[in-house]
Amino acid sequence: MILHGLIDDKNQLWVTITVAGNQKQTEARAILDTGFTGEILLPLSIASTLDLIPAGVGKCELADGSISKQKIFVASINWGTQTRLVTVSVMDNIKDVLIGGGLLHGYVLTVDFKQKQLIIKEPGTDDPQIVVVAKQIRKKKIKRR
Amino acid sequence: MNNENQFDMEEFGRKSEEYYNQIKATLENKYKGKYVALDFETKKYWLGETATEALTKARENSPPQKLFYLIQIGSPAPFNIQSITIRQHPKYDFARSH
Repeated sequence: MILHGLIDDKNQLWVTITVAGNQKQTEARAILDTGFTGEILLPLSIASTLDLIPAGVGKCELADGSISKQKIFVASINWGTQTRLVTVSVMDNIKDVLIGGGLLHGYVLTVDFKQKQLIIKEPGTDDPQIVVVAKQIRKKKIKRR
Repeated sequence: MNNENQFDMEEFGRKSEEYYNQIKATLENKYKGKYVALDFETKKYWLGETATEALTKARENSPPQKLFYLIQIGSPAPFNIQSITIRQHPKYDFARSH
């Protein structure tokens, strides 16, 4: 699985995912936020359109140290070439979808601030672009001999 | 909205944490850092490397629409959000029409 994203002028990391609730889905640009240890955080404005499946309750600790109980939902997302179940938190008064470190568990995140690109992939997955470049380099080396 | 169906999150959390305190020492000894989804009504719990893994196992082994309490073993909260400082009060309600 490989998922490409981009880095904006504010050096924020963005990927595009599709989030699906019980019967409805939406495509969303999401910020990769490693300060968020959960999986997906949806603004209420998006969550309320998706008919999310309630899963339970969990606590959430904010930057000021305050801890509050939050309702937790499950949803499925299109994650590169995969579809996977995710745990979703919902908050009011935020505007962006956040992807947290919890969703990246087991994946490799490569960030290139010079090229303004990022790649998320499963370990052992070759980026098709990287495979093509490697073959070209090998061909050049063979010709030089 | 039918008040009888209104979900009391605080009471749910309180009872769940009461149950968790009974099993906390055992879980922290062996499974620190992992996630646990627990059901205080049946006194069952399900472990996972991720929140989703624990919740998925719990949902697969329970009646539909059952709700669980999610904990990261050894942590004060399963989720941290360092980029948000204002305490939010989510208004999304389980009893919303489906």
